[in-house]
This record gives sequence, structure tokens and C-alpha cells, in this order.
Amino acid sequence: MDALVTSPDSGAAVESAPRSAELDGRDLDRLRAAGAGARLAVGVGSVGLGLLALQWLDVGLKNPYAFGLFTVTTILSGAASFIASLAAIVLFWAFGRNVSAHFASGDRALERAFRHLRSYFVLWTCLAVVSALMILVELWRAL
Amino acid sequence: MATTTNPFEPPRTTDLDATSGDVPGRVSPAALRELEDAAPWVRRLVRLSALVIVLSVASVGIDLARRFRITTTTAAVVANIVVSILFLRILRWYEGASTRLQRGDASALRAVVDAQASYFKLAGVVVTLATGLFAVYLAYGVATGRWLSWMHS
Repeated sequence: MDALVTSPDSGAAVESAPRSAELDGRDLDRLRAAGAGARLAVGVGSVGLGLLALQWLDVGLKNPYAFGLFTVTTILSGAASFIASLAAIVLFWAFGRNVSAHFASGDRALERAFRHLRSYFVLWTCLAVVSALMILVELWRAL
Repeated sequence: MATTTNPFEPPRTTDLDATSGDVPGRVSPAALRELEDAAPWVRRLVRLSALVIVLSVASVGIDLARRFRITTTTAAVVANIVVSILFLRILRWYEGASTRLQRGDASALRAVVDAQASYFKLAGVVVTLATGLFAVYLAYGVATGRWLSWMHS
């Protein structure tokens, strides 16, 4: 499927002019599946993070010194993962909601959905940097 | 817009007229740009994820060489590595498709949507499994009095 809708009169015009594309029935089904997967991850992930917070609260209330048994890198890594997971849940929710809105109202919602997905990739890249640094520090200590 | 002499015709406004943007399945230029802008971030994420996997494998190797036994932490790291590899495979697929889209190949849009569907499906399954396992672990801890005992007092 050729999605170019601009006139191919000049190469420069094709490069800079806005273009759009169409998704066929199968692609739309896959997009629906993506939205459904995101909503499932949000629903279950919220419960999981809530349970994790409850467990940490339990440790903090019963024995606050237990956190002292962990290394700084472990605590930092855990905190970064927790915060990033919370942010990911918000972005997944926004993606799923906008995919649903796309089928109801139009393609503005799809633009927002893809923007949230891009934000998620940026966030997860930052988390990967933090994770790599923490593992490197741990390896440095172990050697 | 064509004019008419019919006085009973309802007024036509830009809002009421159907636009191509209202059609489900049409991906606007702005939406395509969002996908293209994500390409470099997906590329970085793929490389960093691969690095984290390699470092994690090294970390597990050193841990096993020293202790000669598998702890809960080691098992968790190994599970994390396996899950990361599954995500990495999809991300590489996504990276290839979004790079092609960035170069102007509109047919790559289908592959991008396919990769998105696979990514979110895997995310849903992994999050459900992890939450289920953690809930069982927590329930066992509550039943044996290890966790949340302050709630009973």
C-alpha cells in the first residue's frame, strides 16, 4: 500500500510535505489488541504495585532498620524501577485510552496515543541507563 | 463549498462536515511523525537493554562462581533476564520497522503496529504472571504471620 498522498512532482516536496497512511482491517485489529494489552497491563500492574507498596510499608513499620541491610544501589535501583513503573502505568493507560478513542472519534487520538508511547520509550531508556549503572557499580564492588 | 438556493437546507459548517481525520484507520501525518520520532529512542533502548542483559548475565555468573548456590535473588535476576530477552526481540523488530518508516517506507507502518500489539500483549502477560506470583507470595506471608501482622493488632 502506497500511503503517499502528495504529488510527486518534485523530490523536495515529497520530503517535506505531510503524508498520511491507512490501516486496513487486520492492522486495526492489531491496534485494538495493542490497546487491550496496554489496558490489561495497567489494571493488573496497578494492583501489583499497590501490593508492593503495601509490603514495603509493612517492612518500614515493623522494622525500619531492615532497609539498612540493602546496599544503596539496590535501594536506588528499586526506587527507580518503582517510580518508572508508576509512570509507565500512566503512559500505558493514556495509550490504551487514546487507541479506544481513535476508534470512536478519529485520528487525533492516535497521534496522542503514539506520543504517549514515545514518552514511554524515553522513560524506559532512562531506566535502562540507571539499571546499567547500578549493575556496573555492583560488579565493580564484587570484583 | 458549493452554494445552494434551497432555504431549507441545514447550515453547513466545518465542524459538521466529515473530514478525512475522522475516519478510524487513517493515520495522520502528525501521528506518523510521532512514530518516526520514536525510532531513535527505540534504537537506544534496544542497545541499552542488550547491555543490561549482558551485565546481568555477568553479575549472575560472578554470584554463582562465588557462592555455588542459587538464591532467591539469583532466580529473580535470571527470570528478569529471560523476560528482558523476550522484550528485546520485539523491540528489535519495532526498531527495524520504525527506522524503515523514518526513511519514508509507509508499508512499515503495518510492522510497527504488529510490533506494538506483540509488545503490549507480552507486557500484559508478564505483568499478570508477576502480579499473580507476588500476590501468592504475599498471601502466604500474611497467612504465616510474616507480612502485615500489624493489620491484625
